Amino acid sequence: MLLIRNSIRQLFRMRGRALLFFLLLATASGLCSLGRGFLVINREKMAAYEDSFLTIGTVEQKADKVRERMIWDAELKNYHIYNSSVYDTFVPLSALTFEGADYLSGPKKRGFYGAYMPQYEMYGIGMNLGEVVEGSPLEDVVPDHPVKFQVSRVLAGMGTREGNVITFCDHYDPSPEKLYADKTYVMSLQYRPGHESEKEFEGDYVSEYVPFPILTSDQVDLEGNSVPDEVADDHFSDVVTEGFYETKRGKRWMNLVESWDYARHIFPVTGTDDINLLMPFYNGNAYISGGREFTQEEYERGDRVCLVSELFAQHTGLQIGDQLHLALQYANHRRTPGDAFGSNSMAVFSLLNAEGEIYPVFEEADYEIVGTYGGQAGLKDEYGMGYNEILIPSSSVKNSDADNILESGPMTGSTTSFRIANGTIDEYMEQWNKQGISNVEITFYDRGYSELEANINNMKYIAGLLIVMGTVMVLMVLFYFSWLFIGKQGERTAIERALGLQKRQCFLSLFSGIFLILLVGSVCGCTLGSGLAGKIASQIGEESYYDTTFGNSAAIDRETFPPGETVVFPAPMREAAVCTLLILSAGTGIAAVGILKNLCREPMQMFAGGQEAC
Amino acid sequence: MEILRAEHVSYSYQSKYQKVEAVKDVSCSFEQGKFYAIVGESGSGKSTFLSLLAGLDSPSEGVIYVQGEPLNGMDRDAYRLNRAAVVYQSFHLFPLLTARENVMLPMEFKKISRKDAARQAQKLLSRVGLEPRIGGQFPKMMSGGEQQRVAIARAVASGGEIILADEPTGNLDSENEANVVALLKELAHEDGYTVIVITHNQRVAEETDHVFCMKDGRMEQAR
Repeated sequence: MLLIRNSIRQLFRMRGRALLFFLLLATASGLCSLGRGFLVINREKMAAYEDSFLTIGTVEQKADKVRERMIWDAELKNYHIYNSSVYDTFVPLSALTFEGADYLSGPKKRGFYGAYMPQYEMYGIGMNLGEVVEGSPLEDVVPDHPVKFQVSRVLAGMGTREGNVITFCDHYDPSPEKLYADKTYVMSLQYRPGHESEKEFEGDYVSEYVPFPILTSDQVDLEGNSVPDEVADDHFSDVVTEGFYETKRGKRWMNLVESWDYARHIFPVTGTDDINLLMPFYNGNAYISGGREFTQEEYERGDRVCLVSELFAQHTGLQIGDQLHLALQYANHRRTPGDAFGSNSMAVFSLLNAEGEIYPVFEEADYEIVGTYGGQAGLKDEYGMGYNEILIPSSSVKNSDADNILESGPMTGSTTSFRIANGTIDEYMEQWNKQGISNVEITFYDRGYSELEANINNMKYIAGLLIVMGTVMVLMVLFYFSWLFIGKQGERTAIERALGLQKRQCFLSLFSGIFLILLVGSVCGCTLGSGLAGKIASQIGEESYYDTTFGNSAAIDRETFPPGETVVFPAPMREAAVCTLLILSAGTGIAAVGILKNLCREPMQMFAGGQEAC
Repeated sequence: MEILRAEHVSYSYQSKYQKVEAVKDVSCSFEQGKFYAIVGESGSGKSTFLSLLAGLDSPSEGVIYVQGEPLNGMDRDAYRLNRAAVVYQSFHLFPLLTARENVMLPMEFKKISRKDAARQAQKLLSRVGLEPRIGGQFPKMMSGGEQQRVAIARAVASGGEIILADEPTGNLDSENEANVVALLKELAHEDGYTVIVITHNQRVAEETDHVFCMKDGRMEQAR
């Protein structure tokens, strides 16, 4: 203790030098620690970004050509002309599988399934299902304008009643067939905008009905080719005669009537390999609000688990942990639930297959509800969620839907997507461009990860610069003060030796004071540096996380970065400790070498000022 | 009583260009309570010989005995701590310690309490003729004579029986020189120290009991 006390006493009597040593060392240590702190925080940031930032690509096949579609308007007595896209062939999903394409999930063309659940009814969405009625016109008439039609029997639908006289117009047919008053017709009708000017028909407000040709099956095969329907054509009506419903065509009408009830109880089910591939989840319009997401294992094993919307759970009284029996009846390979069930009015499909039967259930199982999701449905957006949409792992559907496809279409941004590692867009596109597929367009969304990555790389560069500057400064300070406090203290060591101190005691005498400054200087510097790094990073974090210029949405992991809360990066104190230890080690090493160099000479030589190497 | 004896002591070292034989076959002895001078021209090897007597280095050949015990076989650090103290021409005080602290240091090295060491140091400083206020001064604030007295007080504080002084008056004026020599003489004759001074000052040599003369590394007794 005596030696240490003396050492410190002597050092502190060189106040100016000791203070300068302390300040310079603290500053240099601070720079090192600041740089290292930045580096570590950046690494942590990147790790956090890896978890909360996702890079997904959406795939859209461009149309080969555009065709004009002419639709007759009986009111205007003219055609409406619409443009529709024409695809010679659908580019298969396999085109996205090529060397260098390293997917984290997908690529996947999703579509959706229709699950029949008679115990529940579609909720929250308007259902303009139309009607199937029997009736006759009040007079023989060609319905190329609104005509009166008396309903004699309602087979399906709730818009009209038996005995009602409705207004009917074969609105979209330029040369409709004549209807006879003495005949009974079965018709599928739907209320639609028709003769707007004639709503006030003979003084009373009367809905106008137009043909709703869903008697014909739209069934397609896996390649998207229509499956020929031998029974029905585009006709929307038939003449009812004795025994008509016993005929093939009549039975088709009965099946259509039966399917009417199905339509109210069919729910959209989406199979996915990663809910983040669904745009509503990706862009934050949908989020897990209760329970949990699917696990990777559940995706891989194809476990029978599902996520339901909060609205659906509320309406049905189902809770997390409950079983939901899903009977998958059809597959729609063209649209998303957001498209078909996302607007205020549900799209209505023909639920009859090419044989005129209601699509048989091709997959049936109980699914456990593991979570609920919140978010707004009804955005009238193919990229939005559908009303009452149910999510399941895609691999949980074991059976083929090949015989139950009611619509097919090309890959679109809303149906086809994949996920790749953050920051690999350029590499991916380089490989993709080599494939030479020009009619497929890939759009990437990364929530601004690329910009952030560039910022982080800049910060890394600054951190590196700080570390280099700090290290150089630390070494310069250590060497200079080692020379000042040790190299120039040869005489002191010689006196101590002459007074009878052993070499190790002389070492301790010289080293302890220096070590104290080293310790205090490096601890203060490193602690301050790390603290400053945390503070700066938090400030930068606060500005960048909630600054939408960095992202295409505010959809950031809500658990990691809760909205409204300041993102605080704790000062990397472990790094401060590491930095301190490194500086202490370097300082100790440099000091030890200097002291040992002094001690290896005999006091006599030292007094004589001899500089011979030991 | 013989306290130090050198038998055929030689010391050589390798300089940058040649081997230097600083001390050649020196034999002599020193008794307790006597005041010795070793004189000689610069480079004659007297300071080197004194360092060998102080155990600051080992002879290349020959043996130095301390009360009959070979110095080579002893712990030379302990020898300097307990038995032999060195006083230098340029004082070699610790510049960052006060006069008192410089004197206290050898005592503290010997585990004497700080309080006792301080009291003893003050006495020793008085003994060498320094005013109490000097005790709190740093070497830079003192004159050469005062510094040398502090160095002598420090040598005495070590509590040994041998004081080896290398040109102790070399940097002093004649008044201080006389005072220091008188002090050393007093330490030898009254306190029983064996005091060996290196000097080329005739006046100093004349004050000693015995004078050795060194020339080209060899020793001869002059008186």
